[in-house]
Parts: sequence; structure tokens; C-alpha cells
Amino acid sequence: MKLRSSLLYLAALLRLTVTETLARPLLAATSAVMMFGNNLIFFLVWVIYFANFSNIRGWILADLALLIGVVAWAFGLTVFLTGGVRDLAQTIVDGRLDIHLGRPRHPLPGLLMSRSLSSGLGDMASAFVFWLWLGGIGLGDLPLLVAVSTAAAIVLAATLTISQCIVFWLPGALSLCEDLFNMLMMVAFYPQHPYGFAVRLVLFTVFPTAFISLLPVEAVRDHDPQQALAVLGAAVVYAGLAALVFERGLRRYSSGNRVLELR
Amino acid sequence: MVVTESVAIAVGYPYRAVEGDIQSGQIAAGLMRPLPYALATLAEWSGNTLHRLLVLDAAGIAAGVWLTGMAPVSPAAIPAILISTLLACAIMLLFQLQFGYAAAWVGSAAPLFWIWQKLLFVLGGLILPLTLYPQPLRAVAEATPFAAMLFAPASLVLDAAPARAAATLVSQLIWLALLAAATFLVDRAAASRFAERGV
Repeated sequence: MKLRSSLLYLAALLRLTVTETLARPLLAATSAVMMFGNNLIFFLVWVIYFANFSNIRGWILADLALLIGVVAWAFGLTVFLTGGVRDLAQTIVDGRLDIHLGRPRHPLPGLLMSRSLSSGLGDMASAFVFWLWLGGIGLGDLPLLVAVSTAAAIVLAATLTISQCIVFWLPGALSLCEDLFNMLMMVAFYPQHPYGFAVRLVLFTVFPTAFISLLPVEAVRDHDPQQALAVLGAAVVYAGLAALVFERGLRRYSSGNRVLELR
Repeated sequence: MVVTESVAIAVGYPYRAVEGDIQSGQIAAGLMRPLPYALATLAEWSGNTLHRLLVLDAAGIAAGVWLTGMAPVSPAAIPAILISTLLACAIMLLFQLQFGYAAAWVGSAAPLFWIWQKLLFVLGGLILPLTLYPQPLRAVAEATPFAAMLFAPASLVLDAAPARAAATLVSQLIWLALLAAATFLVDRAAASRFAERGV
């Protein structure tokens, strides 16, 4: 009963946020189309690279297409469903959590789903181009690909939440949060399999881009259920960690008395 | 890559500040000040960019020495690389100011910026030097301001012969002048729009 109620609450939040985003359909469509084009233009770099070199430690252009598709799906889904994660640090610093704390539910879902970025739709649409056309993936692999990429989206959203929560302890670290976001995305969009043990250790723990791009791609390339399960497991673990860090940080939160804005 | 990445990261995404000022209406306060809004903004951004550039270059040079086992550039090339890097940053900041102002017309400048940024990555040679590009694409890239922002300073690391360095710097100065003129026009157009329609 409680689970059903929670799911209904999340569905209602999602409906409201998406409705608000699509209220300006031209802007939403433009953002989505531009993001779609943006991803394809970025891929040109790799087309040029593989015109000069045959592979990167065994990875060919199709593998890169697979990787970019996974990250595009993960990022698109994250910002479309939980776009509030991009502003989380600013919201905390501005003392704007009050509105969410006054509700009879856990504040984190409401905060994350307080905003939806329509550009995410362009990212998600481009993922299919990368997978099916440029990556040469068959339709039979699509369910696994969508599953691991969706799990990657959860890891990404959770990691961003954790990094944005830094401002609970360091209120002046807004730009650090933005730098961490950019760094995370930059690493996620590049092949990580050539790295040695030490770097991989970081990528599988504190800076988990391996669960966002490397492992999902390897799971599909090798048709390896263990790697797929590892990504799904990571989604659960990092989501739990994000909730834990947010709750710990919340104890240090100072109100901005923004509850008056509700009047 | 040390040069291209440090220029791209040092400049960052400052257009969002102008976009935010326009969306929130705070630009009205900026326009009232005795110092023109565009100049004040560029001055602030220049300081931030220089600060970031120093940190990024220090880390980048250290990484370059560590990875290659040698000094990445000859001392004689350093002045040309420094000037070229500063010119590259200046051109990028002018672009960013124009993107910020674009919010006055299109509401959100982000979609335009994404496309510009990826063109910068591809045509500027962020990851791969333009010398590896197929000839037609290389010719196109070199005829754009994107090459002047990333490839120009990076190419001087490999070849800073006086004639080549001079040609590179002149090319960047021409793009800087063109972009400065375009920015001036966009600034005037935005000011007229704010005067007619409000902020």
C-alpha cells in the first residue's frame, strides 16, 4: 500500500514537471533537436580519429557509438526526469529547501523532480541513432541496452546528488559542484577501458563513471549478465548512498525562510 | 591537448551569467551603471579566466612533463604561445557574451551554445590536431574562428618558427577584431531591444 502510494506520488510529480516543461513546446522542441544535433556533431571527433587509427585497445568506432549512446541515454533520462539535480546545490545554498521540507514526503524526490529539461529528450532520441545505426546493435540487444543504460542513469543522478550535497558542508563550493559535474561527464564520454588498476579503482568507487559508461557497454558487447547485474546493483547502492548523504547533510541545513513564498 | 583543454576549461560557460541576468531582469541594474555592462562583464570574466588558466596550465604542464619525460615546449616558443593563448581566450569570451545576449531573443541560449561548443570541439581540434583531419575538413576548420580559439595556440607548441607564429597571431587578431565588432553590434541590438520592450 505504501509502495503504491509512493509510486502514485512520484507519477504525479513527474506529470506536473513534464507538463510545465512542455508548456512552451517550441522551446522544448528546439532544445531537444539541438541536443540531438549536438551529440551527432561530437561523434565526428571519433569518426576522424578512427579514420587515422584502427582502434583504441580493441575498441572500434561502433563501440564508441555504443558508449556515447549509453551516456546520452543516461544523461537525457536524468535531466528529463530529475532535472532538479542540476540546481540542487544552488537550492540548498539559497535556503530554498523549506518548501520541500514542509511536505509529508521525503524531500529528495520532490527536489530532483522539481525541474525537467526537455533537451534530455534529444539525448534519449540520439541514443537510438548511436546504438542501432552507428553502433550496429541488433533489436534483440535493445532491451538489455535500455536496462543497463537506465541503471547508468540512476548511478549518474545519484552521483550528481552526492556531489551537489557537498554544499551542506561547504556552502561556498558551488563552482566545485559544477566542476565535478563537468569532469564526471567529460570522463564518462571517453573510453575508460585502457586505464590501469589505480584509475579503474577510482572510476568504480568515488567517481563512478565506470558504472555510467564502461560497464554498461562491456555488458552489451560481451553479452555478460554478470556485468549487467553489477550495473543494476550499482544503481541500487549509489541511490541508497545519495539518500544517506542527503539526509546527513540535511542536519546541517539552515533555512532561508522561503516557506513564506508559498503564501 | 594541455593547451586546447586548458583554454576550453578556463573559459568555461560564463554566458550563463548574462543569460541569468536577462531571464531574471537583473540586467536592468547592470545597464544603469556608468561602466558599460558588456565591458564590466568582460573584465570580470577575463579575471576569472586568467586565474583558472594559471592553475590549469600549471597542472597541465606538470602532467605533460610527467607523461612525456621532457619539457613540452622550447623556452623560445613560450612568449608566442602565451600571447596566442590569451588571444584565444579573448575570442572565446566575446563569443560567450554574444551567447548570453542571445537569451534576449530566444529565451534560453543553451541550445545554441551546445551546437557552438561541439563545433568548437570538432573544428577547433580539441582532441585531435587539425593536421590529422582530411584535407577538405581541415580547410573548412582553418577558415573558421574555431581554429583560432584552440588549434592556433596548441599548434605553436609543436612549431613556433617566427614566420608561423606571426601568421598565427595575425590570424587570431583578425578574428578578435571581427568578433569585437560583432559583439558591439549585438550589444547595441540587445540594448535597443531592452529599451523598446523592457527587460
